[in-house]
Amino acid sequence: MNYKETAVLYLVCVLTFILSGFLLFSKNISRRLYLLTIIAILCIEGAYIGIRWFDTGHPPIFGTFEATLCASWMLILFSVLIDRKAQFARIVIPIAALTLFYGLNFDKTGKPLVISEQSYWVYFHALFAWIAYGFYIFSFAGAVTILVNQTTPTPLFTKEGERGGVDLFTYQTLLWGFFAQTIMFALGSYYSIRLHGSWWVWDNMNPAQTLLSGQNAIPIHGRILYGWGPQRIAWLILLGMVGTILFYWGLIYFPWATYHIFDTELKIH
Amino acid sequence: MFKGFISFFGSRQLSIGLLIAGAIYFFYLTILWFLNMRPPAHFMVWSPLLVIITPFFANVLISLFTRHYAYTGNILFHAGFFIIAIGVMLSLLYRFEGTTVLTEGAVFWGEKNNYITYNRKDNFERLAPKVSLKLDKIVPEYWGERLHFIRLDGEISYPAETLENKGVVRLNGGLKVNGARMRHSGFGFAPEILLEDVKSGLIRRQTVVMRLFPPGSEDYLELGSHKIYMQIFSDPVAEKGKLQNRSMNLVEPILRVRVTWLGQPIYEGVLKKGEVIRLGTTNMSFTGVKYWLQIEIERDPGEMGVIIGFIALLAGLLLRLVKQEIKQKA
Repeated sequence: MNYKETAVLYLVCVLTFILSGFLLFSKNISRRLYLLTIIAILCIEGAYIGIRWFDTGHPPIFGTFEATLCASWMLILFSVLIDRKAQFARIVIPIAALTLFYGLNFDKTGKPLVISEQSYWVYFHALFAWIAYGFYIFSFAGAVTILVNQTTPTPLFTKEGERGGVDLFTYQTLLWGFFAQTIMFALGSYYSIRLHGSWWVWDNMNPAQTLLSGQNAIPIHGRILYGWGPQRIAWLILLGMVGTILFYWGLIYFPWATYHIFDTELKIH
Repeated sequence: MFKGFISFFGSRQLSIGLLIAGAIYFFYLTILWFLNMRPPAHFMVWSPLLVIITPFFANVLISLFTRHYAYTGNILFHAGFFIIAIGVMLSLLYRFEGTTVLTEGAVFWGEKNNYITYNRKDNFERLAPKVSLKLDKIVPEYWGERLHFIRLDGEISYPAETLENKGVVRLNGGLKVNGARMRHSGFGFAPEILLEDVKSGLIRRQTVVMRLFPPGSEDYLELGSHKIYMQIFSDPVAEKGKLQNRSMNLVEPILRVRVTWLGQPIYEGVLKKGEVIRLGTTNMSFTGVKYWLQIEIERDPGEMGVIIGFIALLAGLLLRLVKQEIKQKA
């Protein structure tokens, strides 16, 4: 990474950090300023991703640093697309900032892809993983909103009639997340048969992601079959998010080998 | 009785109960992985799952017939599981898997004895794909000096000994020939050994597939009572009197050889191309090093079933989601 790329990356970090600070501590941020800032972050981070893609010759899917780049960019993109009113910005933007800062702890050197990752199936598998992550984070933000508004309403979320909207939004983002996760699964499974000759291999990601998929299917079925209320669904979504953090971002801290590459230097995954 | 059976297996309680049971089971598998514990036998993973899956299918099937699922999308989504199950069953019954090891220039005719391992021993003729090929060249590329493959292609011509088709066998197996998918699963160095019987003058040349990759790895071959241990220096350079590898590419490779006879060490040294060591009445030399590739050949009639099942799942979900969005907008 040369100094220009480093400067662009740190500019994105600073902008996201400042915006998170404003969202968390100032109640008077205008919607216009918010939109302008996230669009600027989206464009600058997008440009950085593009440059990195060009340099390394592959989309940013290799190692935790590149994963955090994609994850945070996807959250910013979703903020522009589905949350222009900044209803969930107080939760989503700080998560995007944290994701980005977390990634800075890892090796940032651009590396060519190993042969096992060189496939469009892997690229699309990763893309749908990040789309699912984006929807699930919004669903998580909706769940937090539902649970927080029970006791201490915050001005940003308490417009009249908003509550019903938040319930619906939370459920819909959960559904779309589930859809993207299923696509990710199908693509990963198909790639597994090409790579390992088996739809299923003993890899941490397989049971963990099936568990998360099941965890997210429970509130969906609960709402359809039993008409479960927003609180119960919100708690289940929260549980799902804990699982996602633990069983995705947490995997790098375990020494056991996995076919999913989180770090290209520390240990062979 | 029958009504009770239908109402129990088609109940909503069972649907949600099985989902929770499934999630708990996969939580257990995840925890096992975190503890680096792997069930010693395959059935220990699959049999508890079967206990959950069987009533799940009964539940879905009954729900499909009793129109428990009110929307077409839901029906399609849940029917997708059946299509996947059919695909998996076909795979279990008719999937052929075979492994062969070839060095550069070697030919594979698809006969039983060309495989080093294969399943379907009783049904080989019926299930094995009709495939023959010649491995023309193996091209490895690394990222700098690291054991980080950025390319490992096995260039083949097929059918064997023809120039009809050219293809590339890769790790993530895109190549399909006569319905058989090919991918490689192993790679290494194969020294070409020349053995000359001093008494009879008989000469034998053999390319020996050995586990000498990455350079520094040691493997051995047996010759009568002799055990010949070898290490390869693929691109050797002497630094301060010590042999080292400059890269993993084959550039004037040499062998470090250690020979034992009945367990007693009798020789240790470096063997360059053309140099000879005497082992009893046999002269041994090496004439070069080739690459070898382990190729997996598979034919799976269930694969398409699983893919169609996945498509049905996704189409069902999409249909449901889009219809819901349209309904809400209206």
